[in-house]
Amino acid sequence: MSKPPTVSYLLYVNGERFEVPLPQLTVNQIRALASIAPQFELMIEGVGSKPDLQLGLNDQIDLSHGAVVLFARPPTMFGMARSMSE
Amino acid sequence: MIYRNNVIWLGVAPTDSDLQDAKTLRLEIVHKKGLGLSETDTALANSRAIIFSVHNGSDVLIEQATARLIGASMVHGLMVRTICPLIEVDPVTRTFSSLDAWMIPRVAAHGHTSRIFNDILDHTPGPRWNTKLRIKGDKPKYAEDEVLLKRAFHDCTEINLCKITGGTSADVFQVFAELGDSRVGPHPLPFFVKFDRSPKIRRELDNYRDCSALFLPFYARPNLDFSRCVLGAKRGIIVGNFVEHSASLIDLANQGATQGIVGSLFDDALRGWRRQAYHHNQKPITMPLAKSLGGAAWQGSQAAQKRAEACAQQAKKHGATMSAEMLANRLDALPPMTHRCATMHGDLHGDNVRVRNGQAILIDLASVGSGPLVADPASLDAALALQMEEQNFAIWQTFIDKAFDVDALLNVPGALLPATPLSHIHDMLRDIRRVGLADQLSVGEYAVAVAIFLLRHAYRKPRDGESPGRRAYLFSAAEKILLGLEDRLQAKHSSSAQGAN
Repeated sequence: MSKPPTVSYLLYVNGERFEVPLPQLTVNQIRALASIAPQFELMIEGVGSKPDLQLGLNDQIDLSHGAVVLFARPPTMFGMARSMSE
Repeated sequence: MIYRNNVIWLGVAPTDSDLQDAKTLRLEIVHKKGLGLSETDTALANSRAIIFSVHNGSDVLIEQATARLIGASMVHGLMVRTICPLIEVDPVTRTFSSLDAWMIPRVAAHGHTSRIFNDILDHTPGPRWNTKLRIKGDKPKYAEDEVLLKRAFHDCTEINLCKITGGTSADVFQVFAELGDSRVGPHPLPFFVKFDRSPKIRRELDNYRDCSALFLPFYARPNLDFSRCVLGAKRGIIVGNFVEHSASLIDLANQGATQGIVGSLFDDALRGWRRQAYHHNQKPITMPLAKSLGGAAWQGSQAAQKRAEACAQQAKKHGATMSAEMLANRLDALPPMTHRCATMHGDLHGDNVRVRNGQAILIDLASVGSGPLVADPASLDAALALQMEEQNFAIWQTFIDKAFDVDALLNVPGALLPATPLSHIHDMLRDIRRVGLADQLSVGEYAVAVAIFLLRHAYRKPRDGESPGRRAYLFSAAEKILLGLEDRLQAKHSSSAQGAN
Protein backbone atom coordinates (compact mmCIF):
# COMPACT_ATOMS: atom_id res chain seq x y z
CA MET A 1 0.00 0.00 0.00
CA SER A 2 1.45 3.34 -0.99
CA LYS A 3 1.79 6.23 1.49
CA PRO A 4 -0.87 8.98 1.21
CA PRO A 5 0.61 12.05 -0.49
CA THR A 6 1.99 14.60 2.02
CA VAL A 7 0.14 17.89 1.83
CA SER A 8 2.50 20.83 1.76
CA TYR A 9 1.91 24.55 1.80
CA LEU A 10 3.99 27.16 0.12
CA LEU A 11 5.52 30.43 1.22
CA TYR A 12 8.36 32.67 0.06
CA VAL A 13 10.58 34.55 2.49
CA ASN A 14 13.09 37.05 1.08
CA GLY A 15 12.63 35.43 -2.31
CA GLU A 16 13.34 31.92 -1.06
CA ARG A 17 10.77 29.15 -1.47
CA PHE A 18 9.69 27.06 1.51
CA GLU A 19 7.32 24.09 1.55
CA VAL A 20 5.86 23.34 4.96
CA PRO A 21 3.43 20.70 6.22
CA LEU A 22 1.37 23.22 8.25
CA PRO A 23 -1.52 25.31 6.85
CA GLN A 24 -0.89 28.10 9.36
CA LEU A 25 2.40 29.47 10.64
CA THR A 26 3.19 31.75 13.57
CA VAL A 27 5.72 34.55 13.31
CA ASN A 28 8.18 32.53 15.42
CA GLN A 29 7.84 29.58 13.04
CA ILE A 30 8.52 31.77 10.01
CA ARG A 31 11.59 33.22 11.73
CA ALA A 32 12.79 29.71 12.61
CA LEU A 33 12.27 28.52 9.08
CA ALA A 34 14.08 31.33 7.30
CA SER A 35 16.57 32.22 10.07
CA ILE A 36 15.32 35.78 10.49
CA ALA A 37 16.99 37.73 13.31
CA PRO A 38 14.61 38.94 16.04
CA GLN A 39 15.35 42.62 15.42
CA PHE A 40 14.12 42.36 11.81
CA GLU A 41 10.46 43.06 11.13
CA LEU A 42 8.49 40.53 9.10
CA MET A 43 6.32 41.97 6.34
CA ILE A 44 3.70 40.43 4.06
CA GLU A 45 4.14 41.78 0.58
CA GLY A 46 0.97 43.54 -0.59
CA VAL A 47 -0.53 42.34 -3.86
CA GLY A 48 -1.26 44.99 -6.51
CA SER A 49 -2.07 48.30 -4.86
CA LYS A 50 -2.41 46.78 -1.38
CA PRO A 51 0.20 48.08 1.05
CA ASP A 52 2.77 45.80 2.67
CA LEU A 53 1.62 44.60 6.07
CA GLN A 54 3.83 44.31 9.13
CA LEU A 55 3.34 41.13 11.19
CA GLY A 56 3.00 41.45 14.96
CA LEU A 57 4.50 39.05 17.49
CA ASN A 58 1.27 37.06 17.86
CA ASP A 59 0.12 37.08 14.25
CA GLN A 60 -0.36 33.95 12.18
CA ILE A 61 -0.39 33.57 8.42
CA ASP A 62 -2.78 31.31 6.59
CA LEU A 63 -1.23 29.31 3.76
CA SER A 64 -4.30 27.26 2.90
CA HIS A 65 -5.51 29.73 0.23
CA GLY A 66 -2.24 29.85 -1.66
CA ALA A 67 1.36 30.93 -1.35
CA VAL A 68 2.19 33.93 0.81
CA VAL A 69 5.11 36.21 0.03
CA LEU A 70 7.03 37.71 2.95
CA PHE A 71 10.18 39.70 3.44
CA ALA A 72 12.24 40.76 6.43
CA ARG A 73 13.01 44.40 7.01
CA PRO A 74 15.78 45.78 9.21
CA PRO A 75 14.67 48.16 11.99
CA THR A 76 14.47 51.71 10.64
CA MET A 77 13.54 55.21 11.80
CA PHE A 78 13.24 56.98 8.46
CA GLY A 79 12.05 60.55 8.84
CA MET A 80 11.72 60.31 12.61
CA ALA A 81 13.16 63.73 13.40
CA ARG A 82 10.97 65.45 10.85
CA SER A 83 7.75 63.73 11.87
CA MET A 84 8.38 64.57 15.53
CA SER A 85 8.86 68.23 14.71
CA GLU A 86 5.69 68.42 12.64
CA MET B 1 41.99 26.11 8.66
CA ILE B 2 39.16 27.95 10.43
CA TYR B 3 39.93 29.13 13.95
CA ARG B 4 37.68 27.45 16.58
CA ASN B 5 35.69 25.50 13.99
CA ASN B 6 34.03 22.96 16.31
CA VAL B 7 30.25 23.01 16.68
CA ILE B 8 29.01 21.19 19.77
CA TRP B 9 25.76 19.43 18.98
CA LEU B 10 23.69 18.22 21.95
CA GLY B 11 20.51 16.13 21.92
CA VAL B 12 18.79 14.66 18.83
CA ALA B 13 21.58 13.46 16.52
CA PRO B 14 22.40 15.46 13.38
CA THR B 15 21.26 13.96 10.07
CA ASP B 16 23.66 13.02 7.30
CA SER B 17 22.54 16.13 5.49
CA ASP B 18 23.40 18.28 8.54
CA LEU B 19 26.85 16.71 8.72
CA GLN B 20 27.41 17.25 5.00
CA ASP B 21 26.29 20.91 5.18
CA ALA B 22 28.66 21.55 8.08
CA LYS B 23 31.53 19.80 6.35
CA THR B 24 31.05 21.90 3.23
CA LEU B 25 31.61 25.00 5.35
CA ARG B 26 34.61 23.36 7.07
CA LEU B 27 32.80 23.20 10.41
CA GLU B 28 33.33 20.16 12.60
CA ILE B 29 30.24 18.85 14.39
CA VAL B 30 31.03 17.30 17.75
CA HIS B 31 27.93 15.35 18.74
CA LYS B 32 27.64 14.88 22.49
CA LYS B 33 24.90 12.98 24.21
CA GLY B 34 26.03 13.69 27.74
CA LEU B 35 25.85 17.17 29.18
CA GLY B 36 28.60 17.53 31.76
CA LEU B 37 29.90 20.74 30.15
CA SER B 38 30.89 23.60 32.41
CA GLU B 39 32.57 26.98 32.10
CA THR B 40 35.92 25.29 32.64
CA ASP B 41 35.43 22.72 29.89
CA THR B 42 38.02 22.95 27.15
CA ALA B 43 35.42 21.68 24.67
CA LEU B 44 33.63 25.02 25.04
CA ALA B 45 36.82 27.04 24.86
CA ASN B 46 37.73 25.38 21.55
CA SER B 47 34.33 25.69 19.87
CA ARG B 48 32.56 28.28 17.79
CA ALA B 49 28.94 27.38 18.50
CA ILE B 50 26.65 25.08 20.44
CA ILE B 51 23.40 23.65 19.12
CA PHE B 52 20.66 22.21 21.31
CA SER B 53 18.65 19.85 19.15
CA VAL B 54 15.39 18.97 20.94
CA HIS B 55 12.12 17.14 20.29
CA ASN B 56 9.81 19.60 22.03
CA GLY B 57 9.44 22.29 24.70
CA SER B 58 9.50 19.80 27.57
CA ASP B 59 12.79 18.20 26.50
CA VAL B 60 15.04 17.85 29.57
CA LEU B 61 17.92 19.32 27.57
CA ILE B 62 16.19 22.72 27.45
CA GLU B 63 15.95 22.84 31.22
CA GLN B 64 19.65 22.12 31.56
CA ALA B 65 20.54 24.52 28.79
CA THR B 66 18.58 27.31 30.43
CA ALA B 67 19.98 26.61 33.88
CA ARG B 68 23.65 26.40 32.98
CA LEU B 69 24.82 25.52 29.50
CA ILE B 70 23.74 28.63 27.62
CA GLY B 71 25.52 30.85 30.15
CA ALA B 72 28.63 28.64 30.21
CA SER B 73 28.81 28.70 26.41
CA MET B 74 28.36 32.45 26.09
CA VAL B 75 31.17 33.08 28.59
CA HIS B 76 33.48 31.51 25.99
CA GLY B 77 31.96 33.46 23.09
CA LEU B 78 30.00 30.60 21.51
CA MET B 79 26.99 31.27 19.32
CA VAL B 80 23.99 29.42 20.81
CA ARG B 81 21.19 27.98 18.68
CA THR B 82 18.28 25.64 19.35
CA ILE B 83 16.64 23.47 16.73
CA CYS B 84 13.36 21.59 16.98
CA PRO B 85 10.49 20.40 14.75
CA LEU B 86 8.65 23.30 13.06
CA ILE B 87 5.46 22.60 14.99
CA GLU B 88 7.32 22.88 18.33
CA VAL B 89 8.96 26.26 17.65
CA ASP B 90 6.53 28.29 19.78
CA PRO B 91 6.56 26.03 22.89
CA VAL B 92 10.36 25.80 22.72
CA THR B 93 10.71 29.59 22.34
CA ARG B 94 8.49 30.08 25.41
CA THR B 95 10.74 27.89 27.58
CA PHE B 96 13.53 30.46 27.30
CA SER B 97 11.42 33.31 28.66
CA SER B 98 13.17 33.17 32.07
CA LEU B 99 16.52 34.13 30.49
CA ASP B 100 17.79 37.68 30.07
CA ALA B 101 16.70 38.95 26.64
CA TRP B 102 20.22 38.98 25.17
CA MET B 103 20.82 35.35 26.21
CA ILE B 104 17.73 33.85 24.54
CA PRO B 105 18.96 31.60 21.73
CA ARG B 106 17.40 31.81 18.30
CA VAL B 107 15.29 28.78 17.41
CA ALA B 108 15.44 27.11 14.01
CA ALA B 109 13.41 24.31 12.46
CA HIS B 110 14.81 20.81 11.91
CA GLY B 111 15.71 20.32 8.28
CA HIS B 112 16.73 23.96 7.79
CA THR B 113 20.12 23.90 9.48
CA SER B 114 22.21 25.07 6.53
CA ARG B 115 21.29 28.66 7.39
CA ILE B 116 22.44 28.11 10.97
CA PHE B 117 25.80 26.89 9.75
CA ASN B 118 26.18 30.03 7.63
CA ASP B 119 25.40 32.15 10.69
CA ILE B 120 27.94 30.17 12.69
CA LEU B 121 30.59 30.69 10.06
CA ASP B 122 29.94 34.45 10.18
CA HIS B 123 30.16 34.46 13.97
CA THR B 124 33.44 35.58 15.54
CA PRO B 125 33.92 33.71 18.82
CA GLY B 126 36.94 35.77 19.85
CA PRO B 127 40.06 34.39 21.46
CA ARG B 128 39.98 31.17 23.48
CA TRP B 129 40.97 31.52 27.10
CA ASN B 130 44.48 31.11 28.37
CA THR B 131 44.17 28.94 31.47
CA LYS B 132 47.80 29.57 32.40
CA LEU B 133 47.44 33.36 32.67
CA ARG B 134 48.51 34.62 36.12
CA ILE B 135 46.19 37.36 37.40
CA LYS B 136 47.67 39.57 40.11
CA GLY B 137 46.67 42.73 41.97
CA ASP B 138 43.08 43.86 42.51
CA LYS B 139 40.37 41.30 41.88
CA PRO B 140 37.46 41.85 39.51
CA LYS B 141 34.00 41.58 41.04
CA TYR B 142 32.58 38.46 39.34
CA ALA B 143 33.89 34.98 38.52
CA GLU B 144 32.90 35.54 34.89
CA ASP B 145 35.21 38.56 34.74
CA GLU B 146 38.20 36.30 35.33
CA VAL B 147 37.28 34.11 32.37
CA LEU B 148 36.90 37.24 30.23
CA LEU B 149 40.35 38.43 31.35
CA LYS B 150 41.82 35.06 30.39
CA ARG B 151 40.27 35.45 26.94
CA ALA B 152 41.16 39.12 26.46
CA PHE B 153 44.79 38.58 27.51
CA HIS B 154 45.15 35.16 25.88
CA ASP B 155 48.61 36.05 24.55
CA CYS B 156 50.00 37.11 27.94
CA THR B 157 51.68 35.18 30.71
CA GLU B 158 50.73 37.58 33.51
CA ILE B 159 48.59 40.63 34.14
CA ASN B 160 48.51 42.98 37.10
CA LEU B 161 45.27 44.86 37.84
CA CYS B 162 44.98 48.24 39.61
CA LYS B 163 41.38 49.31 40.25
CA ILE B 164 40.48 52.86 39.26
CA THR B 165 37.91 54.60 41.42
CA GLY B 166 35.44 57.20 40.22
CA GLY B 167 33.00 55.34 37.97
CA THR B 168 29.58 54.26 39.14
CA SER B 169 28.24 51.05 37.61
CA ALA B 170 31.31 49.81 35.74
CA ASP B 171 34.53 48.33 37.13
CA VAL B 172 37.58 49.95 35.58
CA PHE B 173 41.20 48.85 35.97
CA GLN B 174 44.61 49.85 34.76
CA VAL B 175 46.31 46.65 33.60
CA PHE B 176 50.02 45.97 33.27
CA ALA B 177 50.54 42.93 31.08
CA GLU B 178 53.45 40.64 30.30
CA LEU B 179 53.25 39.34 26.74
CA GLY B 180 54.13 35.73 26.06
CA ASP B 181 55.75 36.20 22.68
CA SER B 182 56.34 39.61 21.19
CA ARG B 183 59.17 40.69 18.88
CA VAL B 184 59.39 44.02 20.73
CA GLY B 185 59.57 42.69 24.27
CA PRO B 186 57.32 41.43 27.04
CA HIS B 187 56.08 44.74 28.49
CA PRO B 188 53.51 46.72 26.45
CA LEU B 189 52.19 50.11 27.56
CA PRO B 190 49.41 49.80 30.15
CA PHE B 191 45.86 48.91 29.14
CA PHE B 192 42.58 50.10 30.55
CA VAL B 193 40.01 47.42 31.17
CA LYS B 194 36.34 48.02 31.80
CA PHE B 195 33.82 45.40 32.93
CA ASP B 196 30.08 45.92 32.88
CA ARG B 197 26.87 44.09 32.04
CA SER B 198 27.04 42.42 28.66
CA PRO B 199 24.38 44.56 26.89
CA LYS B 200 26.03 47.77 28.13
CA ILE B 201 29.43 46.67 26.89
CA ARG B 202 27.92 45.66 23.54
CA ARG B 203 26.30 49.09 23.22
CA GLU B 204 29.51 50.88 24.14
CA LEU B 205 31.51 48.86 21.60
CA ASP B 206 28.93 49.73 18.94
CA ASN B 207 29.27 53.39 19.93
CA TYR B 208 33.05 53.22 19.60
CA ARG B 209 32.78 51.56 16.18
CA ASP B 210 30.09 53.85 14.79
CA CYS B 211 30.82 57.21 16.39
CA SER B 212 34.43 57.34 17.49
CA ALA B 213 37.10 56.65 14.87
CA LEU B 214 35.82 59.00 12.17
CA PHE B 215 34.54 61.76 14.46
CA LEU B 216 36.68 62.06 17.57
CA PRO B 217 40.33 63.09 17.09
CA PHE B 218 42.64 60.14 17.82
CA TYR B 219 44.38 62.15 20.55
CA ALA B 220 41.07 62.95 22.29
CA ARG B 221 39.80 59.42 23.01
CA PRO B 222 41.14 56.08 24.19
CA ASN B 223 41.91 53.67 21.37
CA LEU B 224 40.33 50.29 21.82
CA ASP B 225 41.98 46.97 21.08
CA PHE B 226 38.89 45.36 19.55
CA SER B 227 40.54 41.95 19.33
CA ARG B 228 40.63 41.90 23.14
CA CYS B 229 37.08 43.20 23.72
CA VAL B 230 34.84 40.21 24.37
CA LEU B 231 31.30 39.58 25.49
CA GLY B 232 30.34 36.83 27.92
CA ALA B 233 26.95 35.75 29.22
CA LYS B 234 26.15 38.35 31.86
CA ARG B 235 29.35 40.41 31.60
CA GLY B 236 31.54 41.96 28.96
CA ILE B 237 35.00 43.51 28.82
CA ILE B 238 36.42 46.49 26.93
CA VAL B 239 40.20 46.75 26.53
CA GLY B 240 42.05 49.77 25.20
CA ASN B 241 45.20 51.75 25.73
CA PHE B 242 45.32 53.56 29.06
CA VAL B 243 45.32 57.36 28.91
CA GLU B 244 48.60 57.90 30.75
CA HIS B 245 49.93 61.08 32.37
CA SER B 246 46.47 62.60 32.59
CA ALA B 247 44.21 63.99 35.32
CA SER B 248 40.44 63.99 35.56
CA LEU B 249 38.65 67.20 34.66
CA ILE B 250 37.03 67.35 38.10
CA ASP B 251 40.43 67.20 39.86
CA LEU B 252 41.68 70.07 37.72
CA ALA B 253 38.43 72.01 38.25
CA ASN B 254 38.88 71.70 41.99
CA GLN B 255 42.42 73.06 41.65
CA GLY B 256 41.20 75.92 39.43
CA ALA B 257 43.40 74.68 36.59
CA THR B 258 40.90 74.38 33.74
CA GLN B 259 41.79 77.43 31.66
CA GLY B 260 41.22 76.60 28.00
CA ILE B 261 40.04 73.07 28.68
CA VAL B 262 36.34 73.70 28.11
CA GLY B 263 37.28 75.02 24.65
CA SER B 264 39.44 71.97 24.02
CA LEU B 265 36.54 69.74 25.02
CA PHE B 266 33.70 71.28 23.02
CA ASP B 267 35.55 72.89 20.11
CA ASP B 268 38.10 70.15 19.53
CA ALA B 269 37.36 66.77 21.13
CA LEU B 270 33.61 66.94 20.46
CA ARG B 271 33.63 69.04 17.29
CA GLY B 272 33.12 66.08 14.94
CA TRP B 273 29.76 65.38 16.56
CA ARG B 274 28.63 68.87 17.46
CA ARG B 275 29.28 70.53 14.11
CA GLN B 276 26.92 68.11 12.38
CA ALA B 277 24.11 70.15 13.99
CA TYR B 278 24.92 73.06 11.66
CA HIS B 279 25.21 71.12 8.42
CA HIS B 280 22.64 71.63 5.70
CA ASN B 281 20.55 68.51 6.29
CA GLN B 282 20.38 68.87 10.08
CA LYS B 283 17.47 71.22 10.47
CA PRO B 284 16.55 72.37 13.99
CA ILE B 285 13.56 70.54 15.42
CA THR B 286 10.68 71.85 17.50
CA MET B 287 9.51 69.75 20.41
CA PRO B 288 9.69 69.82 24.20
CA LEU B 289 13.37 69.67 25.13
CA ALA B 290 12.73 66.91 27.66
CA LYS B 291 11.22 64.75 24.92
CA SER B 292 14.30 65.32 22.80
CA LEU B 293 16.30 63.95 25.74
CA GLY B 294 14.09 60.87 26.05
CA GLY B 295 12.06 62.30 28.96
CA ALA B 296 13.18 64.32 31.98
CA ALA B 297 13.31 61.32 34.32
CA TRP B 298 16.31 59.03 34.12
CA GLN B 299 15.10 55.76 32.62
CA GLY B 300 16.47 53.45 35.26
CA SER B 301 15.29 50.54 37.36
CA GLN B 302 12.60 50.60 40.04
CA ALA B 303 15.40 51.08 42.58
CA ALA B 304 16.38 54.26 40.75
CA GLN B 305 12.79 55.53 40.96
CA LYS B 306 12.80 54.84 44.69
CA ARG B 307 16.10 56.69 45.13
CA ALA B 308 14.64 59.69 43.30
CA GLU B 309 11.52 59.77 45.46
CA ALA B 310 13.63 59.48 48.64
CA CYS B 311 15.74 62.37 47.38
CA ALA B 312 12.59 64.43 46.68
CA GLN B 313 11.48 63.71 50.24
CA GLN B 314 14.81 64.96 51.63
CA ALA B 315 14.60 68.03 49.37
CA LYS B 316 11.48 69.15 51.22
CA LYS B 317 13.67 70.55 54.00
CA HIS B 318 15.23 72.80 51.36
CA GLY B 319 11.83 74.11 50.28
CA ALA B 320 11.04 71.65 47.47
CA THR B 321 7.40 70.67 47.21
CA MET B 322 7.23 68.19 44.34
CA SER B 323 7.81 64.47 44.07
CA ALA B 324 10.42 63.30 41.55
CA GLU B 325 7.67 62.06 39.26
CA MET B 326 5.84 65.37 39.46
CA LEU B 327 8.97 67.39 38.73
CA ALA B 328 9.80 65.15 35.76
CA ASN B 329 6.25 65.46 34.44
CA ARG B 330 6.31 69.27 34.75
CA LEU B 331 9.63 69.42 32.88
CA ASP B 332 8.20 67.09 30.23
CA ALA B 333 5.17 69.38 29.89
CA LEU B 334 7.12 72.58 29.15
CA PRO B 335 6.19 74.03 25.74
CA PRO B 336 8.01 72.89 22.58
CA MET B 337 11.29 74.68 21.85
CA THR B 338 13.12 74.92 18.56
CA HIS B 339 16.58 73.45 19.10
CA ARG B 340 19.53 71.91 17.30
CA CYS B 341 20.36 68.24 17.67
CA ALA B 342 23.55 66.26 17.24
CA THR B 343 25.30 63.20 18.58
CA MET B 344 26.00 63.70 22.26
CA HIS B 345 28.25 61.98 24.78
CA GLY B 346 25.24 61.51 27.05
CA ASP B 347 27.12 61.17 30.35
CA LEU B 348 29.52 64.08 30.41
CA HIS B 349 30.85 64.64 33.92
CA GLY B 350 34.13 65.47 35.59
CA ASP B 351 35.41 61.88 35.62
CA ASN B 352 34.53 61.12 32.00
CA VAL B 353 36.90 63.77 30.70
CA ARG B 354 40.64 63.30 31.20
CA VAL B 355 43.11 66.10 30.54
CA ARG B 356 46.69 65.74 29.31
CA ASN B 357 48.82 68.79 28.50
CA GLY B 358 45.70 70.95 28.25
CA GLN B 359 43.99 68.54 25.83
CA ALA B 360 40.58 67.15 26.80
CA ILE B 361 40.24 63.39 26.26
CA LEU B 362 36.80 61.76 26.27
CA ILE B 363 36.26 58.43 27.93
CA ASP B 364 33.22 56.18 28.53
CA LEU B 365 31.15 56.22 25.36
CA ALA B 366 28.44 53.97 26.84
CA SER B 367 25.69 56.61 26.64
CA VAL B 368 26.40 58.14 23.24
CA GLY B 369 23.21 58.96 21.35
CA SER B 370 21.36 61.67 19.53
CA GLY B 371 20.06 64.63 21.52
CA PRO B 372 19.91 68.41 21.89
CA LEU B 373 23.15 70.26 21.24
CA VAL B 374 22.87 71.91 24.65
CA ALA B 375 22.75 68.52 26.41
CA ASP B 376 26.48 67.87 26.86
CA PRO B 377 27.36 71.32 28.24
CA ALA B 378 24.29 71.17 30.51
CA SER B 379 25.26 67.70 31.73
CA LEU B 380 28.79 68.87 32.60
CA ASP B 381 27.38 72.00 34.24
CA ALA B 382 25.05 69.95 36.48
CA ALA B 383 27.79 67.39 37.21
CA LEU B 384 30.13 70.12 38.39
CA ALA B 385 27.49 71.25 40.88
CA LEU B 386 27.52 67.77 42.39
CA GLN B 387 31.20 66.92 42.12
CA MET B 388 32.94 70.17 43.13
CA GLU B 389 35.05 69.98 46.26
CA GLU B 390 33.79 72.06 49.20
CA GLN B 391 33.65 70.67 52.71
CA ASN B 392 31.47 73.46 54.08
CA PHE B 393 27.88 72.69 53.07
CA ALA B 394 26.69 76.25 53.73
CA ILE B 395 29.29 77.73 51.35
CA TRP B 396 28.39 75.16 48.70
CA GLN B 397 24.67 75.93 49.19
CA THR B 398 25.20 79.66 48.77
CA PHE B 399 27.20 79.01 45.62
CA ILE B 400 24.50 76.75 44.16
CA ASP B 401 21.76 79.28 44.97
CA LYS B 402 23.53 81.91 42.89
CA ALA B 403 25.02 79.78 40.13
CA PHE B 404 21.83 77.80 39.50
CA ASP B 405 19.38 80.64 39.75
CA VAL B 406 17.33 80.71 36.56
CA ASP B 407 18.78 84.12 35.56
CA ALA B 408 22.30 82.69 35.72
CA LEU B 409 21.20 80.05 33.20
CA LEU B 410 19.59 82.49 30.76
CA ASN B 411 22.67 84.67 30.30
CA VAL B 412 26.33 84.03 31.02
CA PRO B 413 26.75 85.06 34.68
CA GLY B 414 29.20 87.82 35.55
CA ALA B 415 32.63 87.14 37.03
CA LEU B 416 33.11 86.89 40.80
CA LEU B 417 35.77 88.64 42.80
CA PRO B 418 38.84 86.40 42.98
CA ALA B 419 38.60 85.97 46.75
CA THR B 420 35.00 84.72 46.63
CA PRO B 421 34.73 81.06 47.69
CA LEU B 422 34.51 78.70 44.72
CA SER B 423 35.25 81.48 42.23
CA HIS B 424 37.42 79.01 40.27
CA ILE B 425 34.38 76.74 39.81
CA HIS B 426 32.30 79.76 38.85
CA ASP B 427 34.87 80.60 36.15
CA MET B 428 34.56 77.13 34.73
CA LEU B 429 30.75 77.32 34.77
CA ARG B 430 31.04 80.59 32.84
CA ASP B 431 33.17 78.83 30.21
CA ILE B 432 30.66 75.98 29.91
CA ARG B 433 27.67 78.32 29.71
CA ARG B 434 29.30 80.38 26.98
CA VAL B 435 29.20 77.18 24.93
CA GLY B 436 25.73 76.04 26.03
CA LEU B 437 24.04 79.42 25.62
CA ALA B 438 25.65 79.91 22.22
CA ASP B 439 24.18 76.56 21.16
CA GLN B 440 20.61 77.43 22.09
CA LEU B 441 18.02 78.66 19.61
CA SER B 442 15.19 79.25 22.11
CA VAL B 443 15.31 81.28 25.29
CA GLY B 444 15.42 78.93 28.29
CA GLU B 445 16.62 75.90 26.31
CA TYR B 446 19.86 75.60 28.25
CA ALA B 447 18.14 76.22 31.59
CA VAL B 448 15.67 73.39 30.94
CA ALA B 449 18.51 71.04 30.07
CA VAL B 450 20.39 71.93 33.27
CA ALA B 451 17.22 71.38 35.36
CA ILE B 452 16.77 67.95 33.77
CA PHE B 453 20.35 66.90 34.54
CA LEU B 454 20.07 68.22 38.12
CA LEU B 455 16.91 66.16 38.54
CA ARG B 456 18.60 63.07 37.09
CA HIS B 457 21.23 63.16 39.86
CA ALA B 458 18.42 62.08 42.18
CA TYR B 459 18.03 58.77 40.31
CA ARG B 460 21.68 57.73 40.42
CA LYS B 461 23.55 55.90 43.16
CA PRO B 462 25.76 58.18 45.28
CA ARG B 463 29.46 58.00 44.39
CA ASP B 464 32.14 56.94 46.86
CA GLY B 465 33.04 59.80 49.19
CA GLU B 466 30.23 62.05 47.97
CA SER B 467 29.04 64.79 50.32
CA PRO B 468 25.67 63.68 51.70
CA GLY B 469 22.65 65.88 51.06
CA ARG B 470 23.93 67.41 47.83
CA ARG B 471 21.60 65.51 45.52
CA ALA B 472 18.56 66.56 47.55
CA TYR B 473 19.64 70.18 47.44
CA LEU B 474 20.22 69.98 43.68
CA PHE B 475 16.74 68.48 43.32
CA SER B 476 15.35 71.61 45.01
CA ALA B 477 17.50 73.75 42.68
CA ALA B 478 15.99 71.92 39.66
CA GLU B 479 12.51 72.66 40.99
CA LYS B 480 13.36 76.36 41.43
CA ILE B 481 14.63 76.55 37.84
CA LEU B 482 11.39 74.96 36.60
CA LEU B 483 9.23 77.37 38.62
CA GLY B 484 11.30 80.33 37.41
CA LEU B 485 10.86 79.25 33.80
CA GLU B 486 7.13 78.66 34.24
CA ASP B 487 6.75 82.17 35.76
CA ARG B 488 8.55 83.72 32.81
CA LEU B 489 6.41 81.80 30.33
CA GLN B 490 3.27 82.86 32.17
CA ALA B 491 4.38 86.50 32.19
CA LYS B 492 5.20 86.31 28.47
CA HIS B 493 1.82 84.75 27.74
CA SER B 494 -0.02 87.46 29.78
CA SER B 495 1.84 90.31 28.10
CA SER B 496 1.18 88.92 24.62
CA ALA B 497 -2.51 88.47 25.53
CA GLN B 498 -2.66 92.11 26.70
CA GLY B 499 -0.94 93.20 23.51
CA ALA B 500 -3.60 91.39 21.49
CA ASN B 501 -6.36 93.21 23.40
